[in-house]
Amino acid sequence: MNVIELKDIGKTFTDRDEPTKALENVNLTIASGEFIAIIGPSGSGKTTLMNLLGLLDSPSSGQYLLDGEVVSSFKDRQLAKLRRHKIGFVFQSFNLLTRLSVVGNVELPLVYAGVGSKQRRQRAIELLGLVGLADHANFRPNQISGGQTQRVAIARALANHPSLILADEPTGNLDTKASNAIIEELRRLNRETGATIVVVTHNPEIADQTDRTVTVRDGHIVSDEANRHQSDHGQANTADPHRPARRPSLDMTAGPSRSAK
Amino acid sequence: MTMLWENFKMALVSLGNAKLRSLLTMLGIIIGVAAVVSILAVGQGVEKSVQDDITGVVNANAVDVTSGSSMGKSGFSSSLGASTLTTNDITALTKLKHVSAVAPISLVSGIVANGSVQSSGALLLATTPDFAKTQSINLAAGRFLNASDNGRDVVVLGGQAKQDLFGEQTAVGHTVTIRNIKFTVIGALATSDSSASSLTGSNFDNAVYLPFDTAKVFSEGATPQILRILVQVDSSANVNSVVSSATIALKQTHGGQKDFSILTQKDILSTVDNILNLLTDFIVSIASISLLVGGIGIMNIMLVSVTERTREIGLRKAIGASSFTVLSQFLIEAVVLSLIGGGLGILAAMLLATGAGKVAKITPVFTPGAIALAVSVSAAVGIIFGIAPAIKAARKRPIQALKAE
Repeated sequence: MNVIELKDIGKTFTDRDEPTKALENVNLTIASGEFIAIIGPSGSGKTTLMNLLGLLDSPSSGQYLLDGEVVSSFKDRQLAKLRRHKIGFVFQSFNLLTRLSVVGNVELPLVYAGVGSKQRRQRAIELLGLVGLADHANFRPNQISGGQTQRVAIARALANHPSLILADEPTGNLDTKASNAIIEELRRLNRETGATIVVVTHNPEIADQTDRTVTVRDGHIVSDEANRHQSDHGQANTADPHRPARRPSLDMTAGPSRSAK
Repeated sequence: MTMLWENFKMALVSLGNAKLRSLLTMLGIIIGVAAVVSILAVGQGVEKSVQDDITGVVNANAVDVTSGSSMGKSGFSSSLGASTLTTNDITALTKLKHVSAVAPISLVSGIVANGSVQSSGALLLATTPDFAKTQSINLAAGRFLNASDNGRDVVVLGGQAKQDLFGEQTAVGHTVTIRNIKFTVIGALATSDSSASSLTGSNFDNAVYLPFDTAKVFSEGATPQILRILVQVDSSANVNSVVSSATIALKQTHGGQKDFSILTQKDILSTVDNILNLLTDFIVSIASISLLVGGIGIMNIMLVSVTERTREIGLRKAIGASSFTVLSQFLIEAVVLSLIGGGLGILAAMLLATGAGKVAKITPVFTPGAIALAVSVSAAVGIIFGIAPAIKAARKRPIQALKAE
């Protein structure tokens, strides 16, 4: 079954001096249980694509089916509800609330889903156990390492059994060792829980560790291929020779990728 | 409903994380509420003690006749100078139905002395034995004036006057000197502990009483000026009818002119009440400015908070909070902030009013109404000044909010 079907999706930003086409004629299908990377340089439109997939933004044209339901015309309130139940986000900058404990952060999506406090705590501890942090439940986010923080964020993303986990540069703020551990964690969760995981990255090495790489450039999907072997990174023939190997910080400061021309 | 409760808990966490800032933000509300509640409590306390005084300690059946038209619109100048009240008025009042006692009061100037001990603060009152029926007289020793005393050189000392002149020693049977005339003390009153009765102008603690006719000695044989006539009505139900019949009777003796005033204890109470209410309104309106400033402070801090927490708002929206949920979160935070401020203000008011009450010998009265008013005003301030920041938070778009620094 397909979790995501994008049909002729276009996104034009009209709130600028001149309308900018960030995405054009994007068609993409993601099946349930896939572990996939969306890759592209800064300004390619991959962030816009991720925002659309994550229901943080609506497309200007085309059709978006999430779990077989057309959601492209949904209004704000309905989108919030879908985000709550169907989507789990993992951000580059973790975005844990420092005022809450680790377990409190994992509970947050459950709060919005209206889960009672006892069940909430139980589920959150369970999720922390899944990412190996059950013994850190009462720590503060600033008391744990970056890698651990991102694992907490992953646990949070899993809270409401989402159909889709969107990881936006999940390793961007981590060193190589922690990065590999996070990707390994995502791969393991994908295998063990069957969660559909989409990793958005500019880093081909990260992309190569997934099962499938979708390359976005200038608002179009330019390639969509299965990775030969996730451990064979660097040799995968799907790699685009023009893919820039930028540092994450550069990517973040280069402005929104939807400013594709 | 559960979301509201969750938002309430979140608000406590947020505010608890910035305790000093929260406290400073609440300060305006605390001061405003404390001022309003303590003023209301003290005002109520004064009103209650005056009321107690009039219905209990003194008596509700008393009617006061004074010279001049002091309650008139044209001021009180008609009550200045020599009194318009005469002995004819006393006679006229005595004849009225439902009147059980009539006691004139005349003031005599002079210093009361016991040897070298002087009581310059003593108020020399010439009156008749009926005085005891119009006031609650509490004898400590001896007796009050009676009919046989008229014209004799005897005095009864008020509680304070007795203390000043004789201290703890016996006064009855001893003599005091007033303007070189010796007077025998025939009675002494107990010291009254009612401080509030001075508000109604009937605290006679410092008085020295002498028979009405005896006082002629000090006015070259003429009847002394009558300052007030105290009239006792047989039952409180008849007070109003006595007031109207007395008005008619006295107008006759005054040649048709109403150059006198007839006051009931209710009139006195309502005068005190009016003054109190005016004062209360004045102070409450000043305190309201503090509430306004407090509200603006809350709005200011909430706006700063919303800007600071833009990323948090973005995250909350990304993981499923609707705009309405975010709005209610920040609105509840503002309301909780000002409600806590209101609560602290009420506590401060209790301390303040109790302290002030101790100094002024008044028991402040905290009515549920005043507390409810404080709580609802605080909540209203939170809502009114919290709505704009909350709307600002709710309108943030998750994509932009997540990108914020």
